[in-house]
Amino acid sequence: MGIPFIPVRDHVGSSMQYVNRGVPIKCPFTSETVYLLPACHPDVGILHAQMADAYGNCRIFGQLCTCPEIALAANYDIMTCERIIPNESVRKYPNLTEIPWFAVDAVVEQPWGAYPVSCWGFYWYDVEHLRMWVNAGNEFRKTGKIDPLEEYFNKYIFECESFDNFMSKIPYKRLRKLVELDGHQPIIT
Amino acid sequence: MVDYTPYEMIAYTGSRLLEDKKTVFVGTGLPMIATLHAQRTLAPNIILLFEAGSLAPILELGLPISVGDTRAGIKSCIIKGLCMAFELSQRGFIDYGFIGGAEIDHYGNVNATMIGEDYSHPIVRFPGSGGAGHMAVNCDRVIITMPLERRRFRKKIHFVTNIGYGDGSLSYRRHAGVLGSGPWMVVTDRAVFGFDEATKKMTLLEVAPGYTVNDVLERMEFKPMIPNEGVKTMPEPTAEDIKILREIDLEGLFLKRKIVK
Repeated sequence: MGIPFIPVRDHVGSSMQYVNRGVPIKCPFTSETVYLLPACHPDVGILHAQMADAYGNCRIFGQLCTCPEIALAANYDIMTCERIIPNESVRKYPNLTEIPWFAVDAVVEQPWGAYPVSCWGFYWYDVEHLRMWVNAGNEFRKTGKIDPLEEYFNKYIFECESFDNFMSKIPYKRLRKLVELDGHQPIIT
Repeated sequence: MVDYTPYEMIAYTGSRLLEDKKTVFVGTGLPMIATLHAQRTLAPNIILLFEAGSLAPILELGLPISVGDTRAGIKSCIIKGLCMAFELSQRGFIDYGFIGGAEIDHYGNVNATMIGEDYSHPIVRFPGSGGAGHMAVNCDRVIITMPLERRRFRKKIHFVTNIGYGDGSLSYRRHAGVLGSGPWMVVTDRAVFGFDEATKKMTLLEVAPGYTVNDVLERMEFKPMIPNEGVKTMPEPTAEDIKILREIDLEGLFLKRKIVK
């Protein structure tokens, strides 16, 4: 928010207070205890939104989580989006813009950019793929056997020239199913 | 006689505690399943809040995988982000907080962070706290779910992630600047606990059918208070309740897990 801290109602009296940078104080107006949360300034933010225009005005459908805050706090922002829309569309419904273009430094149109997790209005989680990834990681963690994890990294990351190349390794039938599982949530382009 | 798993008992018991038309701040896992069950049975108008920013969704597409995914947001009345969700609870709009945890002590303080002595080198690191710390201090009544295991119900927990009644002193929560009244119920697979008004200590209220008070006590490191009038028996889920629960958690990701002896 452009300020050094915000007061919140949390953490005081727990062990969290001792392992975090925040400071509890007595509120000068109400005399009650309040916890001051210091601002953080990431160097880079990488976010995926449903739509953005070429300038970086971003439209997010579904839960925002902390995306607008990350975008504005980070020094440099890379926005990937399912679809780039014209600036005229943004100006037609300005309320739908969640991130203003000031915050954004690079915009990339990348359909399926959130895969294998979900993207509201576009596709659901690929649970099978996530399970494969988690199992490979768990096998390494529990037995020290690194082969499944290495195999995953090689096939889906290192041997892929681009994200489109990675997506081409996912069966088309599966992708159609993920689109259906989203339930076609309404979005405005 | 209906067959059910321990986690199904926890989900069913959690669900019957929720009142229709009240607001509940829901965490991942068992609390989500219990709230979904309540929405489909006795509390069809219950209002959910998820920390990712959706208020009053109708979970008709099934169990969400995370608090921030599409299923946790559809047909909401409003969707913004984490800041809105936390503003609503900080302003006192939320009646129930529904959380899980790894360990709990006599005063309802919950550990969802780690096992070990050194925060930078834990023996086990859990995914806590997430939004649970905030829920524990701002929601009016907090319901905590966990299986009844001796390694969980401890005299001293490894880390206080979410405060309950602290050290039991009357002004602990006020000095912490907290809004909600604190832990209300602890729901396990074989016992339900409340908290004593005067001493703020965990009190045994109900025991599952087929188990005695001693069966419960041997699964706890500390001895809870026992009311003078004795304890009641936990109601069991019906076949219809189990059918609904198993439809919600189709793969049994949460409900089929086993309890450690």
